Amino acid sequence: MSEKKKIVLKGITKRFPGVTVIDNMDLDIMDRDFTTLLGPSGCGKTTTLRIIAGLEQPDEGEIWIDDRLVFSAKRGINLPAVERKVGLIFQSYALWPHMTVFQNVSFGLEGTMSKAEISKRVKESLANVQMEEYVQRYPSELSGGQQQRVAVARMLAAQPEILLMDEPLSNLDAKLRMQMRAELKRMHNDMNVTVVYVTHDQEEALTLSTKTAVMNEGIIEQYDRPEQVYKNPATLFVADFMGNPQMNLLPVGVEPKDGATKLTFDTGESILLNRQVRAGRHILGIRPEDLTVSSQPVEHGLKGRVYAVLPAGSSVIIYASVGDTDLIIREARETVVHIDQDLWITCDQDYLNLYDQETKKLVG
Amino acid sequence: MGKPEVEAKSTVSYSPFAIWFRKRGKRLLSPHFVLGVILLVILAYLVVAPLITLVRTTATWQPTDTRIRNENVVVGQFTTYHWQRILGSNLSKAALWDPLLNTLTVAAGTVVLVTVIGSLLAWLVTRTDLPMRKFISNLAVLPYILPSWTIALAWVQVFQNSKSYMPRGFLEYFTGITVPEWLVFGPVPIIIAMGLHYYPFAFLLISGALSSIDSQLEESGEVLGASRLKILRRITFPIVLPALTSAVLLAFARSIGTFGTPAILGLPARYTLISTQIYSFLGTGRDSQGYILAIILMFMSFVGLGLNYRLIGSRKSFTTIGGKGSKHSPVKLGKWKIPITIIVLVFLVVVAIFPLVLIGWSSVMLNMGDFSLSNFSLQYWIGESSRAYADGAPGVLRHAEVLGALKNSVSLAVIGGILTGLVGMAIGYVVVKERGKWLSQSLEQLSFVPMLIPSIVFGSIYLALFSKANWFIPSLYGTFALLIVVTIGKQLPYTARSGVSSMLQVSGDLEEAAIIQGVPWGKRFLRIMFPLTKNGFIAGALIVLITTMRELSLYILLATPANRVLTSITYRFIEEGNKQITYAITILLILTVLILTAAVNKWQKTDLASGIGGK
Ligand SMILES: Nc1ncnc2c1ncn2[C@@H]1O[C@H](COP(=O)(O)OP(=O)(O)OP(=O)(O)O)[C@@H](O)[C@H]1O
Ligand SMILES: [Mg+2]
Repeated sequence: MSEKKKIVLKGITKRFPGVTVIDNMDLDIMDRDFTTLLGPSGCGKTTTLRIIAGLEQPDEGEIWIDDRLVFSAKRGINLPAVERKVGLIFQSYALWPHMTVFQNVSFGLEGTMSKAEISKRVKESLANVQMEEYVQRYPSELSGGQQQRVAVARMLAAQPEILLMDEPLSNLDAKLRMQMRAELKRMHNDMNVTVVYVTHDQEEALTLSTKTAVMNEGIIEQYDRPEQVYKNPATLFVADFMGNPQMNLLPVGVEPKDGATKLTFDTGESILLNRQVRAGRHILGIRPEDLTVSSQPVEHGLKGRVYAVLPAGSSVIIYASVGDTDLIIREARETVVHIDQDLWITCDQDYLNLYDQETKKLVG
Repeated sequence: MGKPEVEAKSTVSYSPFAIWFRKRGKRLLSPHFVLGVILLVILAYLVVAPLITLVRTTATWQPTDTRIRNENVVVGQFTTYHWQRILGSNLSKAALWDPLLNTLTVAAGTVVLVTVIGSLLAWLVTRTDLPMRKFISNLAVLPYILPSWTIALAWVQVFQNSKSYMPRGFLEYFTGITVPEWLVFGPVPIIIAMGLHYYPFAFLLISGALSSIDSQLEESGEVLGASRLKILRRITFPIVLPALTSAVLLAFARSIGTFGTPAILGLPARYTLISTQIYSFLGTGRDSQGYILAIILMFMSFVGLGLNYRLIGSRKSFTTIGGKGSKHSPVKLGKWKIPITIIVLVFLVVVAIFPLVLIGWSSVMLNMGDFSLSNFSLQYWIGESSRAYADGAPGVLRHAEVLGALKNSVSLAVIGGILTGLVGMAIGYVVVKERGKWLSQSLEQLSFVPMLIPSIVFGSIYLALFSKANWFIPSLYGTFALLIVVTIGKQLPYTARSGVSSMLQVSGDLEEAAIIQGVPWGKRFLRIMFPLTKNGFIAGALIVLITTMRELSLYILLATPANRVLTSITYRFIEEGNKQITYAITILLILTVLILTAAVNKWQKTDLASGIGGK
C-alpha cells in the first residue's frame, strides 16, 4: 500500500520457562497494510500480537513504530500501549460485563477529554458499527456479533493508528463471519489505519489481508502477498498448511534436459518443465485445482484410478491413486467420473512448485 | 529506518545501572509487585513476627519466671527449662500427655461425627427427592452461625442433675431421669457438642462438590453398565474426596484449637484438652509452657495438612470439574421418604432450634433448675441490679458493660470483616497476577499460616507482641485497634482463599483491555477488578463478620475492661457461675449475628460456601 514502514520487529525473541515461543523474528509491516498472522494453534500468533501491543515483554530484540523505538531489550525501553497508539481486540472481546455498552466504550476515554466530547466520541464510534441503539444494554444482553461490534467500537474510540485483532471472528457463525469480514475490510479501507490480524483460518487470511505472515513454531515461514503465499508457498510447511483440500506433494526426480527440466515420477512417467531447476530428488507440490483429468489417454498424462468422488457444491473433488501415491484433484462440478474408473491426469506447468527434500525450501 | 534525530536520541548511552533498572525496574515498579511487597510486609508483621515470638518465648526466660526457685533466671536468656518441664518432668503427664491424648480422642470423635452427619445431609439434599430441600439446607447451616459454646451450654442445661449436686436440668425436671456424670461432662459431650457445631463445614463443602459434578460423568458410568455402588466408589467418591478431606481437616484443626466448649464441658470433670491447658498456663503467667503446647498443636495441624496434600495432591482440581452441574435425576427414596424426612427434621430441630429455645427459656428462669411458669422472670434481661440475683448485676439490657461490649463486638465484626475482606482481595489479586513467581507463592502460603495457630495462642502472642511499641507501630495495648489487628491476622486465611478464587474467575483479558487504553492501575482495580470480584469479597467479609461476633478464644486474653467484646464478657459470667446472664447474652449475640447476616444478604446475595473456601 505504501512505502513507509509502520511497525518494525527486529530480532524479537520471547521465552517462557522452558520454551522459546518466538525465535529471533524480523517483520516489517507497512503503513496502511492489513497484515494477517496465520498459523496453526500454538505457533505464537497471539504472543506476537501481544508483544506489539506492549502487553508482553520480549527477552530480546527491538520494536520500532513510526520510526520511534518503542521497545528495546538492550536499552531497557518499553513504552506502554497508549504511547504506541495501538488498539487491541481480544479473542474473547473482553467486554466489561458490569458496564453498559456506553460505559464500555467511554471508560478508556475518561480523564482525557471533557464529558461532552466523550459522549460525542462514544456515539460516533457506536454509530460507526451500527450499535448506537444499544448504549444502555449490558454485554450479556447482546448477541455474539453485537458484542464483537462493541469491542470494535471500544477500540476505535481511542483513535489508534494501529489496530491489533486476535481472531475476532472465531466465535461467530459462518454467515455472520462473512458479513463481519466485509465490514472489517471496508473499515480498513475507509480509515487511515494499519491492521495486524491474527487468525488460524487461511480463508480469512486470503480474503482480508494485503500481506500474510505464515508462522510455524515461533518462526515466520513466509511473508508475502496472500495470492503469492497461495500460489508459490516458500516452504513445504506453507505448502501443506495453505489450501483446502491440501496441496499434493509427490517425490520426483529432477534432471536438466535441452534447456528445460525433466521431472520423473516414481511410476516412471515424466513431464517436461520449461524452466530450469537444480537437479536432484525433490518434492513436487501442486494444488488440486491445478490438475486436470481426462477419461481418454493424454500425452504426458499420469494414469490413475479413481477411488473416491466427493461433490463439493461448486466443484467436485476426486481422489485418485497413481502408483502407490494418492492425488487429490478439484474439477468443475460438471465433471462426471465414477469410482474405479481410469483417468489421465495432467497439470498446469505454471503452478508447479519444487521443494528441496532437505531444506524444505522452494527451489523452483 | 529512522529519521536521523530519532536514531541519535535513542543511542544516548546509559549507565549499566540505568539499563538494569529500566529492564528489571519496570517489573519492580509494576503495581501488583509493589502491592505484593506491601502485603508481604503486612503478613510479616501479622504472621511471621508472631511465629518468631512464639518460638523465642518457649526458649527464653520470661519476666514471670523470676519466681521460680532453684534456677538461675536471667530474663531474655536462652533456656531449655520450659521444654524440659513440658516434655520430660513429673509435670509432663498432667500438662502434656493426658491433654494430648484427650485432644486426639476428642478430635477423632468430632471428625467422624462431622463427616458422617455432613455427608449424609449433603447427599440427601443434593441427590435425592427429599422434600423441603431448600429449607433443610438453610436450617442445616444454622449451628455454624451460633457461637460454638451454645450447644455446650444447652447440653449442660438438659443433662445436669441433682445426683451430681447441680441444679436440675431439663431432662430431670420433666422426666425424673438422672444421667450418669460421664454424659454430662467429659469427652462424650464434648465430641457431640463439637460435632454438631462443625458439621456444617462438611455439609457445605460436600454438597458443593456433589452438585458441581457433571451428571454426565456418572451417567456415562451407568451407561457402561457399572453398578451403583461401583459408580459411587470409582466416580463419585474420588471427585468428592477433596471436599471431604478439606472438611475433615477444617474440623480437625478447629476442634483441637477451640476453647469454649472444652472449658464448659470438660473442666468441671477435670477433663483437660491442650487448649484448656494452654489457657490455664497463660492465665497463670506461664506463657512459655503454654506456647510449647501451642507449637505441638500447630505441629498436629501441619501433619494433617501434609496428609491431606499427599492424599489429594494435584487431584485437587477435581472440585471444579464440569462446573455446570447439570441436572441430576434424583435418587427416589420411595417408602423411606417420609421416615427419612421426619428423622432429618427432628435432628435439625434438636441440634439447631432446641438449644436456642432452651437457652432462651433458661434466660428467663429466675432460679436455675425450675422450669415452671411461676419461675418466669425478665430479671436477667431488664431487671434492676439486686443483690439476690447474679451477684448484683442488672439485666443485660440495662448493663452498661454488656451494651458497651455489644457495640464493640458489632464494630469489630463490621470493620474487621471489611478490612480482612479487602486484604484478602488484594492478596488474591497479587497471587493471581504474579502466578508462578515467588511473590505469589509466599503470599499464598503465608496467608494460610494463621489457620494453623490456635486462636487462644494467637491472641496471647499478639498481646505480647503489640503491648510495646516496635518498629513504627505504637503500643496497641488495650486499644480497639489491637482487636482489629488480631482479627485481620487470624481470619486472613478465609478471605485470602476466597480472594484468590474470585480473582481467578476474572479473565486476564478484562484488565488488559484497560491497560491497552492506558487506564491507570488504581482506576483499573477500583472500576474493573473490584466490581467483578465483589461477591467473593462480600462472602469472605461475611464469614469474618460471623466468626468474629461469636469468637471467644481469640479475644479472651486481649479484651481489657475498656475494650470488652460480647464473648469475653460471656465467659466472665460463665466463670462466675451466673448462668442466666450468660444465656441472655448468648441470645443477644445470636440475634445480632442473625440480623447482621440477614442485612448483608438482603443487600447482596451471597454464598456462604464460597466464603469458607468451598470453591
Ligand atoms: N504465559 C505463558 N506461559 C507459558 N507458556 C505460554 C504462555 N503464553 C503462551 N505460552 C505458550 O506459547 C506458545 C504460543 O502461544 P500463543 O498463544 O501465542 O499461540 P497462538 O498461535 O495464538 O495459538 P492459538 O491459535 O491456539 O491461539 C504456546 O505453546 C503456549 O503454550
Ligand atoms: Mg491465540
